Amino acid sequence: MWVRSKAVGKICLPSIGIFNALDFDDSVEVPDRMALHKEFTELCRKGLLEIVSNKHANDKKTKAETHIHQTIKVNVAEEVEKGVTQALTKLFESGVIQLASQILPESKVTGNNLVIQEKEVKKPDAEKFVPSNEETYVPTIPDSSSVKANISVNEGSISSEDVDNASEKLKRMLRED
Amino acid sequence: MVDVNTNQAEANIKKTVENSATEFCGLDVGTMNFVSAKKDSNGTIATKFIRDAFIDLPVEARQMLKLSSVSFVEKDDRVLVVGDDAFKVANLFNREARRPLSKGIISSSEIDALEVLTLLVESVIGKTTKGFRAFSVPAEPIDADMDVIYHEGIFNSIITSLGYNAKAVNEAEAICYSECADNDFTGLTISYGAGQTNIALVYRTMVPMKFSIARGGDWIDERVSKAVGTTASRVAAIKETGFDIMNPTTGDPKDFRVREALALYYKNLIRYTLESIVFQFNQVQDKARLPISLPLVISGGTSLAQGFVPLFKQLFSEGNKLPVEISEIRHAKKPLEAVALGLLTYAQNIQ
Repeated sequence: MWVRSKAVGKICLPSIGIFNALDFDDSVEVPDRMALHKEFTELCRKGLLEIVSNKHANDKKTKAETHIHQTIKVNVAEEVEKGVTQALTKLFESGVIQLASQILPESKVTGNNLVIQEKEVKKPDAEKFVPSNEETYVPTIPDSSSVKANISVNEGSISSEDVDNASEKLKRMLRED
Repeated sequence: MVDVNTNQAEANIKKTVENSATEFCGLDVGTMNFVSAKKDSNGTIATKFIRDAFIDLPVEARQMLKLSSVSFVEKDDRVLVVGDDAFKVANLFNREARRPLSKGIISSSEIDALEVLTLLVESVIGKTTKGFRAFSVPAEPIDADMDVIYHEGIFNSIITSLGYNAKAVNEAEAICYSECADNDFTGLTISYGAGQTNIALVYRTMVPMKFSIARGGDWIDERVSKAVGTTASRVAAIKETGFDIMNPTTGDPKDFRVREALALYYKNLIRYTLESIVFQFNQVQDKARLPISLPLVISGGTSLAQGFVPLFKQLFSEGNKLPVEISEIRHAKKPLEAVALGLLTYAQNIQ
């Protein structure tokens, strides 16, 4: 089954977990956004959900590609587990996610329920897919430039031979690959 | 007329100059120590260590601290003694040093200590106008409800504020870059730290499996202190006086119970690690292409205890259930610096 995030707005929370990768629509009213993230993150952790594409929608892509780039996959075999269905239903009802079928008309939907699709719809090309780990939020740190400090550290010195050899080998391997 | 070749040559020279001006460094962000590695102008690797700990004292203590050359930070109406000195002062005042990191990540109870954290990081990596810094992050533990996203974000911000482009690399993966070059960057690497134990399976720089367990040196100290009714600081002190895990009977008779308990908990930690590795291997073995045989490298401060590696080898041979052949079990050449050196190798090549 494929579902997708609704829109392209970004939210900035320090601990949105794996959902840094998904763009949620800020205009969507979600009663407890953090709770939903938590549930969603937990599902991913258990391997029941998987982000198969998280390319940001503001990339210069066609509309169709943008849709695909916000797709998540539900592990069909495990979907029957109560928790998954409940959590997804909650997300669905709150408007955070939509069924892929609402964007991709060829898929089958029964009423408002989340259903298992037998046929995968427009699966992203695994070869072309490059996961983005880009953070949407950068935590702030206090300015310490005016703080008076007197710190000494333990210093050591090591021959660079091993690092140079490893570096050379790594360079060669990366070139070959 | 524009000479394309000349322009290209100039561009190449510019690129070379830019690259040579970039400072490449590795920073191991550990629960006990921050360790940095950086190539200096005469070709050797300069390493810097600082314990990530501090203790706050009333401002009146300032003069006394200045006189005794203790590392400190003045903050509002407090003086914070930092680094190794924090432990010494803590013992002096019979208090516990505060630790900004706990179990491998930023401690939620010390979240207001970010200024101190920034200064500690700065003390080992310095400021730059153009640098690339790879820093270590732990993997998410399989036995605790923790993630590393906030931790990684904070350190990314701190390092960026010091002028570097920052890239997070898994701690155990980094060991492979410093220790497994002769194995084509393939190995099973274990980093026994204070806060956590990190494990990675690396196959030709790819990482099909990485995870951590929320047990390390601190866990041993805490468990032993509870078991024999003493403080974790005392346990740590006995541990650091050269206790031999394989022979706990040797030493001061009045510390015998502590040494005995230490040996037991070290054994438990190693067994737990091996069981976790087997469990995780079984999860990935159908999905990942595993090498036929690979070396197992042990690193980290907790592995420095006398007899640790022989005990590991003994327990491994007693109940090895790994689905791959381990060609050898070896200790990292520099267990305290292995992560920072691996990160430096990484930084120099993968930007």
